[in-house]
Amino acid sequence: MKILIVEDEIELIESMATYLENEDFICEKATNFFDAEDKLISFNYDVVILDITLPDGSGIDLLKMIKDKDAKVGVLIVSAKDSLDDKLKGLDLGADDYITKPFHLAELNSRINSLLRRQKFDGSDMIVFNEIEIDPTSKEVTIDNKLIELTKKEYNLLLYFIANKNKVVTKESIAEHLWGDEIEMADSFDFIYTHLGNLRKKIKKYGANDYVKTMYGLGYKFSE
Amino acid sequence: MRLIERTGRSYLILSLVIFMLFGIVLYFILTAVMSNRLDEKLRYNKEVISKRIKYDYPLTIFEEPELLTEAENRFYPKDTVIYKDTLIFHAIEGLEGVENTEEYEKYRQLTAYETFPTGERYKIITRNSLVRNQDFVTIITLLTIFITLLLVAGLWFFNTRTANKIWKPFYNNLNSLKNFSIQEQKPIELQSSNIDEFTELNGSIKSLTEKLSSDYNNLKEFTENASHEMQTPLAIMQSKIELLLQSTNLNESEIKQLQSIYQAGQRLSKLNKTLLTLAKVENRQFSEIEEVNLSELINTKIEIYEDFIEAKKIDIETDIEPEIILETNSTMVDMLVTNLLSNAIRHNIEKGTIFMKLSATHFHISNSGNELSISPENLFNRFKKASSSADSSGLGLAIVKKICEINEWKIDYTFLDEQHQIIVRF
Repeated sequence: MKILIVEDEIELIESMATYLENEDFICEKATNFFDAEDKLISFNYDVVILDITLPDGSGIDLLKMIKDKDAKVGVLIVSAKDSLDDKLKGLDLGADDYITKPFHLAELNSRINSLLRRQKFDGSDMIVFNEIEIDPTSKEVTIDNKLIELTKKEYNLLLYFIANKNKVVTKESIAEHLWGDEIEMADSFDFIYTHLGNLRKKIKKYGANDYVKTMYGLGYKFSE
Repeated sequence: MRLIERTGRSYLILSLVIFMLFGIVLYFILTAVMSNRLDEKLRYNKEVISKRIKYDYPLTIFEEPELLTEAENRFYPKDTVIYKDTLIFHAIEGLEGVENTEEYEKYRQLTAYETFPTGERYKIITRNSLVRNQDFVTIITLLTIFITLLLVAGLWFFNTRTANKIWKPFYNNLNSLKNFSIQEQKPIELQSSNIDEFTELNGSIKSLTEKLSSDYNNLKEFTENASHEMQTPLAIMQSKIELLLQSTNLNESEIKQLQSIYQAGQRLSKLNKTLLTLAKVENRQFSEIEEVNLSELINTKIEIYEDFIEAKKIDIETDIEPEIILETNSTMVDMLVTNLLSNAIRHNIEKGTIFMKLSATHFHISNSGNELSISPENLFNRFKKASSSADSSGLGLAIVKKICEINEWKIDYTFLDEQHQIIVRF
């Protein structure tokens, strides 16, 4: 999978690229409008991560260009402005998702994954992690072909873990992923624990391994 | 005291003093002139009498000259003329058609001790009534007083009337100045006047308010811009720490320290986000008006917060009238409900209660909890919080209040029956 990251802040671009490359994405970087335009004309990408405010132009114009060339390319807008106008304008013009700074790398990765699923196979692609199989369309989870019942939060949590497998995922990023960033309650960490506990129990009950490791009260790691 | 009254009063006092002085001076001048005239007449009378004596002309009984006694001769060795005012008893009795009167009347009297060519010395007395003169002076005084009063009243009346007319723009402008609000972003409207001082004042007020507004706007924009500029460095910080956390060769203490940095960063970015939201609300960036189904919105919010409500074993009771539609901005109402509900949960006690009631006129949310440690007036101010807990930015209610202000809703807080009660009236 090839990703183009358009972002004028070099340090941020490096972080995103490092994280995503670890997930076996091929990342190309563009730090200004001109570079981005050049790369978009010459190459094809599966996903473009697009910062709206660039020093020499607007990401919105790039968005139009991308969608004119190939409407199937997934575009994820990254913006410092979480103003509704920008968001609506971006989505109206064909952007597939929108994320505001500052964001969690795990969240970015999860968004790109779901974007790719929707784009490639109309969402019907199965997500497989060892004996766990997830059907994103019907939102059904099976372990060794046995259907298990998960609540909406447990399902989202599992999906988030699998998208960021082998990575330390912080509690903060999980809380934001499950409840949205408007919820800023310290309590939310306790609920992660509750939901996570239930999820672990259910997975174990159906015979799968416990893949979740606790990382010093900092977060969790989903790995073999 | 109003300026009109103050100046009016000064004028009044001044004119009263002037007229009184004028009246007194007039009185003395008139009296002096008249007694001069009178004395002249008395002298003439005396001359007539002495001529008559000289030429042995018959005299009336009133004019009968007296030969001087020895004592008088000694007292007045030379010819002397003495003027004096005297009272003479008048009695009119038994005259037909005339009322009987008995009174003293004031007279001017001339007494002359004169030596005649024959060597005889006589005392000649002649008088004239002062009554007519006195009447004259009285009338003049009265007239003066009357004119004074008339003038003062007229002056007062016209002064007040013209002053009112002149000052009217001033008072109107004073009113608009009182009602001027810097947050409304409306330039102040001043009534013009043809008085130079007022025109100048208006000019100064206009430039002052314009300066104030632009400074205020700059400050507001500064908050928003500063918050924006902070987002990118925060994003870099956060992403670098997240990457660092992935490395496998960290020991526990390093991870602990990283965690602290990470959490502080998280707090900072949350605070920044809330600050930005507040700035945006204040800058009226949520201006799109649409129909918002508040009943639906509240029910959705309760669902979102379900986990939190259940965890604290809070008993939630609602009385939400269905299909309450408000014409307002959906983002703002969303923020309002979110902030109020999350506050009601966060500042609640274990096994507490939340009660919510929505009707067409108001939204009422109350929750059990401990009494505030800060005064309720400060509750809606920025960074005023009852606890120093990290999960509370102290900006939530400031945002709520601002939203209410913009929508012209009334918001009230009371602590009643161990319940924090907040009512928003639409």
